Amino acid sequence: MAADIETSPSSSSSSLQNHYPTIDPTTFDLIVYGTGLPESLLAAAAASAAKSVLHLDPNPFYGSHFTSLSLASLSSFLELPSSSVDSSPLPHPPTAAEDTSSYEAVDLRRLRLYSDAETSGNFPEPSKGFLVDLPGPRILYCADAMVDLLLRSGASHHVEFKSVDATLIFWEGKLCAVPDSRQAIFRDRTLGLAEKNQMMKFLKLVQGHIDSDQCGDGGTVEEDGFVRIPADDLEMPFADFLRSKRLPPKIRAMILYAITLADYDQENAESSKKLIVTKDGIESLALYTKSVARFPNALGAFIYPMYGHGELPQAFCRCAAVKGALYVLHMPVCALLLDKETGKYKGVKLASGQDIFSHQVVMDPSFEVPSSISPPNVACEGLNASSLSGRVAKGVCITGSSIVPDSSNVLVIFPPKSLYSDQTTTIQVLQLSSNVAVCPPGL
Amino acid sequence: MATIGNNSINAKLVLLGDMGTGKSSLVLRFVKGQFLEFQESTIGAAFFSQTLAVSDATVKLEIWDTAGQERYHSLAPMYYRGAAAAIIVYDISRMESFERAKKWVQELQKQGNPSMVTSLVGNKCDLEDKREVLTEASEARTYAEDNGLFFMETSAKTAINVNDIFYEIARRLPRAQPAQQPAGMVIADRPAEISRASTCCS
Repeated sequence: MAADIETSPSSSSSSLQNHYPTIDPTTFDLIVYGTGLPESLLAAAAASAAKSVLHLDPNPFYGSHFTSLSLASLSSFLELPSSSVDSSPLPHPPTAAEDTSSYEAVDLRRLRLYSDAETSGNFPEPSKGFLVDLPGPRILYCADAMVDLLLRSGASHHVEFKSVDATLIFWEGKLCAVPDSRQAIFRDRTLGLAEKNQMMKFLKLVQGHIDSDQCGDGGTVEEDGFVRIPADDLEMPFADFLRSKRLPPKIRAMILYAITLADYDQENAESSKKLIVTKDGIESLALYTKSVARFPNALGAFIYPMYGHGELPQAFCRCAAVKGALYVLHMPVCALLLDKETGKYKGVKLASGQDIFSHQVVMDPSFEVPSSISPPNVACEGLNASSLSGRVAKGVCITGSSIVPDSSNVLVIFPPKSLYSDQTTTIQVLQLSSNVAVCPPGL
Repeated sequence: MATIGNNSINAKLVLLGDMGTGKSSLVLRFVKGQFLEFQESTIGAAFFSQTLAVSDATVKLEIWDTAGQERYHSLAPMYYRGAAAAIIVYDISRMESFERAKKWVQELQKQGNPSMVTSLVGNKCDLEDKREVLTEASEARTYAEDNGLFFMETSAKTAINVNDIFYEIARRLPRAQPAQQPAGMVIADRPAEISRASTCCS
């Protein structure tokens, strides 16, 4: 695509007109650039607040970095944009009127989010039948704020979900099921009686705290007998708190990494980057408990959208479209237009050469505004290359059989240090099957 | 997708076709019996539900309109998912819209649901004096037959054939066909929808 456009200005202007449609009208309240999940939410919110919205994406598909791609599109996506487009200015159409206009065009750059991509083996056929989540592995708590938002916005009508059948944790060389309810704790054969009792006692304590929170005021002992956890304890590291309740290591690991879903080692305060305090830990437990019971058809606490997470941005975009937002995919923005005198944002220049104006603009944070200009009315809270330090390694495996027999969608947690001694982060593995339609039937 | 229970069928029907061919007008005529000469581009509803009684079953159609996302060729894959039926609409007074309708047919075939009931509709047949797309001979009807579509001309304005097209689709929907894709659950907090979800969850 980029090659098509970067021909010499004189010869390309007529073909450009054919390549890109002309957008009408040319003025909006809001331009949203990028159809990732946050941008799609904003577009839906603005459209339902009766704002006129133009929603653009340079890619021919919805979802930006939140999309689910087929195997064939995935490999071309990983190869093409990171090498040719990302680190260079976006293709720039010729503009004769630039000098006479009162706007200054500031080129946009796109940051590359993927440092390295590697594939081995051949794509299984049909490669169109496999969908890979770019933001994966990702699941939702049934009681997640995102689920509430889906319900409130009506987007929930466009997406169907499946339960994640089970959560397994890798502990002492074995995969153990994480119990998701009191009954499951009693049924569990891998836990001793003492462990079960400690865990039940702990859950009761947490439940009491949650219930008293819901009752409102903050005394230590409520009239109805709920006991709150002391304030000092709430600020201490969650792992220490669990230890102080004499929970055995395996239960601690389950709570920290399979229920709270902590990414970093919680048991080693010095090496850990993100230590969860008790207050947040309890909140996660409350979310988990609420999730388990929320939907009658959901077996556990977690759900996964059919056809992958790429459905969520699409659902919000459809909500926005229904409320009148205008959608144009495959339409790169190559520059921002700033008023020459005041430096204020006025609009965008599209790859078609067309200028579109709006009061406000929201961009996917991977688009970078050159730091030389920081217009006074633009909040530049995007990523910028220098502040990007965290990296995540992701892998996709296509397997011929399930990790555990008779399960289709399973979350597997490898807590820190479970695989090798200097493993500082949790490794989350999500096994998905054809019943969420991300691969052909029979897998 | 078409889900079946006690002789009642739930089916998603999607409308396709270029802007201005009268997709929304057809739905409004069918669902509400209305026609507006200057229908706005967007209609502000995610979908319409309409229940039809045909000889052997009750068919609940969930009719999806494009919400304008077709205007710059930006329809999401989600739109087609699970559709049991599709109506591809063109305007008989605009040859261009008929050519574009063929593109929509191809697009739909790429989605690959062979059991989908697909119909080609030439709308605005009240505009006989401005007709550009011929009904018979080498044009619309032949094209439809060659591509396994059933064909009708309609007018949302005069209501000609509008109900007929939806009833014909309801009659043609497969009666005892296994679900194309495993059904998921629709999340809902309201009790009524929960019971609905439980019937379609495997």
